[in-house]
Amino acid sequence: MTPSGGARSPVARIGALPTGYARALIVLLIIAAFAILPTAYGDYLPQQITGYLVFGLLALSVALVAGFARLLNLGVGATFGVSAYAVAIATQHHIFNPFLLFAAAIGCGLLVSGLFGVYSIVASGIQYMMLTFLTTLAFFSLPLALPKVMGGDNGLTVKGDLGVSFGLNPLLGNEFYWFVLAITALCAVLSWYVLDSQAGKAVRAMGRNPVRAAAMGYQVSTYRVALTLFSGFIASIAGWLYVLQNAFVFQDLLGIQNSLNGLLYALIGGVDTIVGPLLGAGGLRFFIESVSRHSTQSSLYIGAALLLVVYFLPEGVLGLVRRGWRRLQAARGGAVAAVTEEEADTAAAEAAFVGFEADDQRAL
Amino acid sequence: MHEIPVQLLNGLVVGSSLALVASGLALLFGVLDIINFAQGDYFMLGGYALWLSLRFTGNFWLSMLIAAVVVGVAGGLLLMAIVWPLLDRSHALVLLATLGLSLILEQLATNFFGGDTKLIRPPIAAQIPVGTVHYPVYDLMIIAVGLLVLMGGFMFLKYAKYGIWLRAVAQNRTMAAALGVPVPRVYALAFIASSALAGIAGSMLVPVTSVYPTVGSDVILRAFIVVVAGGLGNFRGAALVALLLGEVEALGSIVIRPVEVEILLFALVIVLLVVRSRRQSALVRL
Repeated sequence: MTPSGGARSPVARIGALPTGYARALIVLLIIAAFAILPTAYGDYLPQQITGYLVFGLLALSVALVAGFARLLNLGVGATFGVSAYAVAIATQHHIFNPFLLFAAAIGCGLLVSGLFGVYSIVASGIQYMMLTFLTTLAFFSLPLALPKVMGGDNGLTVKGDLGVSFGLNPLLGNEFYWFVLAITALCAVLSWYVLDSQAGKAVRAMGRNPVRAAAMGYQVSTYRVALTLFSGFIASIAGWLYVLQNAFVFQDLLGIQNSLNGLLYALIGGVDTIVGPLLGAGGLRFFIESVSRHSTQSSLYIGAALLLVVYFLPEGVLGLVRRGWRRLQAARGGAVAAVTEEEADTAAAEAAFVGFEADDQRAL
Repeated sequence: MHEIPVQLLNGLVVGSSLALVASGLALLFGVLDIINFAQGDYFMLGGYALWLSLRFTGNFWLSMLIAAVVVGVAGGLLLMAIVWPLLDRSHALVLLATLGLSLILEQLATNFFGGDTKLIRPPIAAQIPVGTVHYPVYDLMIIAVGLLVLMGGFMFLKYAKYGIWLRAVAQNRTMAAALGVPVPRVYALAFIASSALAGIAGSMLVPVTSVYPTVGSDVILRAFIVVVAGGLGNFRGAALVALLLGEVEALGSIVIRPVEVEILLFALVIVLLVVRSRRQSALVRL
């Protein structure tokens, strides 16, 4: 919470994607490695990673709203699901133009996140969380209420074959994988750009301490709505990619479980980073796929993983790595002040996560 | 029109058991500011505890008491152990920890009891005529027991020493501690009472709905709606809204499909919450 005395601003230090050219090069190399290496192992690995990337985007959108803006949204899955359903429903009405479908997915997803935007104006903390929770429950019931349009609990199959995914086949070759990888990288860079901008820094300041930010003259609700919509945009892209890959939508996509999975991935990776949610989604999905291949106890493992994260890794794997790295550097360069400051920052960040009331008191 | 009296009674059965679960949630939220996602699983455990102890004791009412005590004490202390280290940290972490507990409990219940539904015959088989149909006496007993427990809870909060302490801690923990209220003991009581309420409801409903590992999920969703609509942390509000919700669902399903009733309810609660979210307060009120 203390103002930075170091050479770089605290906000820049929190960012997962660094600013220097050398680091940009590293990021490019990693993307290139992801583009080339998995394809050497046949078709299955790229397909698997495609799924991880899609859910990584969902986790990223959760991290944007829950980690950076500190609004604990339990309904991001609804945005994801509505976007996926929009594509499936449109193809039932013989709309196969991929650009139109993309527009439909993003449009419908943004409508849902607009609702969350309204919530962020009228509520915060637990109230906001409950509102988003109830909203995702309502969306979960929607397919049963509108069985003719949304297929009830049988789900909906996407019509129109490969035309809907620009002719890319998700089950054959690597083109669809590269397509998803490119979009994921674009979304990550875009998120980094947004968060590193003046507005993004303001949003983070509000997450840390809305009262102070408001006192400094920022329109807290405007920024919150803007970030909610941006996060909804990312979630809609994830939903759109999901439906292109799987060509099938079902009720659970809209439900609370989907949202919670996104939150869990983000938390494991590091909820206030950009790469963390992507890593968390890949890591946890891989873990669950591996254990559920051998046993039916996956929900036991997820529960245990959740408890482990809550007790031992509240800032996620990436947060831990970052802290270790800083400590190492401090030991070398003697920049002890920067480390304690960073620790104060993360401690405050964790304390402030959702708990606005506590923060308000601290500010007064 | 002849189904209205029966549906009114059905609504009361659902409502009074829901009120037990929800008032437990509200109590915990009021005192500790936490939301327990595992409350539905304590409902489920109550059912299994009854089923198990009925096999040993053979007495339904004694088994119900055992179920309430076991779920209350064991469940409450387990929850306390999980939540205690997180109390001074973020709400989100508490929420996720209880969610983890919920997933673990559901899986363990499946492992121990199997995924099938366990059915118990009601201890009282008699039926009394209501309008043109016969209504089971046991269902009326559920309503009576539920309302009695709720009334007892209300009186406890209002007049008993620990009840007053509960409200005091909910209102101002620091001040209550300064005035000599044993805060950790009051917390323990809140955990135990909240779990026991879910345990009673779960065991009471086994003869009506039977018990299976995910029986809690349906209950917990409704309980959340009730707690939100009743005012977070409001014991009486939660109880009243639960009864109302049971009636609305029962009567509404005469006219439209249950799933439509559900969506309308969600919408109603969301609007309610948006409207009243400006004035936040989280106290155990009466």
